[in-house]
Amino acid sequence: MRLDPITRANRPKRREVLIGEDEAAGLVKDGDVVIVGGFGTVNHPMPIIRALVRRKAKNLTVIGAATAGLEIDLLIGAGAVKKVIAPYIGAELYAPIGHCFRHAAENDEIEVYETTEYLLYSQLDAAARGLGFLPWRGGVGTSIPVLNPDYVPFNDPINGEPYLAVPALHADWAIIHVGQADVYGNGQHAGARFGDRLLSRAAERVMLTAERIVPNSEIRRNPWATSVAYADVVVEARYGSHPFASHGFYVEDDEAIQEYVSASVAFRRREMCTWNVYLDRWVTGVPSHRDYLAKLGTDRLSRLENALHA
Amino acid sequence: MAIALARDIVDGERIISGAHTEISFAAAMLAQKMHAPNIKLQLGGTCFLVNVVDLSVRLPRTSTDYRMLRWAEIAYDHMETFMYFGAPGGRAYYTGTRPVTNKYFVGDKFFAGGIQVDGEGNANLIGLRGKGGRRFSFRGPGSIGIPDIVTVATPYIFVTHHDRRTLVPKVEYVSMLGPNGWRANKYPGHGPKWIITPRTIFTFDADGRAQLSGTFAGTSVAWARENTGFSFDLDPAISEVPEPTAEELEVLRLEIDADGVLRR
Repeated sequence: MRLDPITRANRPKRREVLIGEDEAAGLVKDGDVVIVGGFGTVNHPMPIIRALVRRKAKNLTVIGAATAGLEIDLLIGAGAVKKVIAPYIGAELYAPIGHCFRHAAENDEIEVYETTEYLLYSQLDAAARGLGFLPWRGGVGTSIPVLNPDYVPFNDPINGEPYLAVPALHADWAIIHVGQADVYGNGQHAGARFGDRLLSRAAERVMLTAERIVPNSEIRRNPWATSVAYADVVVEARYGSHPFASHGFYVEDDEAIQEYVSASVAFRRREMCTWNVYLDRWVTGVPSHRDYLAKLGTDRLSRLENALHA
Repeated sequence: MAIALARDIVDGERIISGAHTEISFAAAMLAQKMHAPNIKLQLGGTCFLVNVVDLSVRLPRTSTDYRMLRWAEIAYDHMETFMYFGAPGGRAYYTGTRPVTNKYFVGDKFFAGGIQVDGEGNANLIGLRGKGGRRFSFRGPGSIGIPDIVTVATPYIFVTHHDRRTLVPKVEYVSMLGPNGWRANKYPGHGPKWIITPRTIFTFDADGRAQLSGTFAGTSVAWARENTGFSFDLDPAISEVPEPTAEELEVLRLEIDADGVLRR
């Protein structure tokens, strides 16, 4: 046995995990299972989504939030997705059903994993707890276990009532957008957390985008507010949910979401020229998040911030 | 539709309003302002309970609008909504007398949409079948949390179009079961209470079949038969739904939806 004494000279420093969005997107390998946080038109890690499209990610299995939004639709339209796991993909009044999602599902270009909000949460919960499965009542007797044989009907051994056995769902990455984070990977939301705390606990590794990077002392000032601790990666991303809202920071950019929706309608109609013009204008032709924000301009972004308090 | 739904909400109930938010949000908030100040109301995916009795609110375009948090009295994580659903006393809550409880996560009523709804009260949010064994000719939005909330609550099915494409003899996929399937699969409660459309309200008879119980002004039974894909009997107690009162419209337009989201 050999236990060398520790000296001040060789004390390692705490690991810092702040990196850029392209480097972060490079950590997600083709074929990975990726959870994307947020909800509806709020709190999506868009710089990573756009960077994944720029680096031409392929064959991803994407697990959306319980109410997944158009960030998943964009990944589908960009050809990055093999399989999608989400109980809903759309943006309510903007687009009740994601148009790229519709096209891909209707033409068998992606695999659709039929699920519901709490079937999905149960699967992530089982994964987070290291259980093989969890039971749930929702979906019993519907088309969902017929379309998705992963859900196995059984009668509970206590009262003999019908349940579904819901298997744990493996994920390589959870990518979550938060209000603030420190360089050590501690992230805090500034509004609703939606399913993000569970989503981040279910994945092997966690990547955060954060509206602002704060000193560790700011995190320690209120540890109850920390929703994700020790993320593997933090990316600084002011306005990082644009065109969607970021709770506590800014509202949806209606105009930008409408522009996306129009482009995705074109995608569904196979007017690929229009779709590609959109991608070039806002995704593939914009080399970085910094350039993306410069293109939007500060006036427009300030308006979205100010509307939060209107 | 919002006003009819509001009138059926009873003070003290626990109301969950999720998808297609503008109508059900407006209904629940109208009820809270008009006659049911003690309903425990959860709006949308930004999970919280709100009381808007003395607030002027603005109906949001999306169910996740941060500005709604101003009305909140408690906020929690989205998955918690489902974790702590559970009728006190289990099924007895729905079959026997209502025990005294203050469990706020119990849901009494919620609102479910459908791209197809049939005369058995089955609702489909999944899609329409394709030809040649293809899974979809039309992919719907997905089942969202509808099949999860049914384990505890009584839904109103609502559709924004009354036509034969929406109200069909048999749904192609089932997201949520009607009263018979509800019973067969041992869900608590009774299953959907209404199918409400912009023209009519259907309830369910003892055999679990939809029956026409109400018509909105300007809709005849003949019109309903012409434009409904499933066959139905008439509720012996069928009546015309009384028109919105000036007071209901004033509260709706001035205190809830000044921006006119409902009229878009």
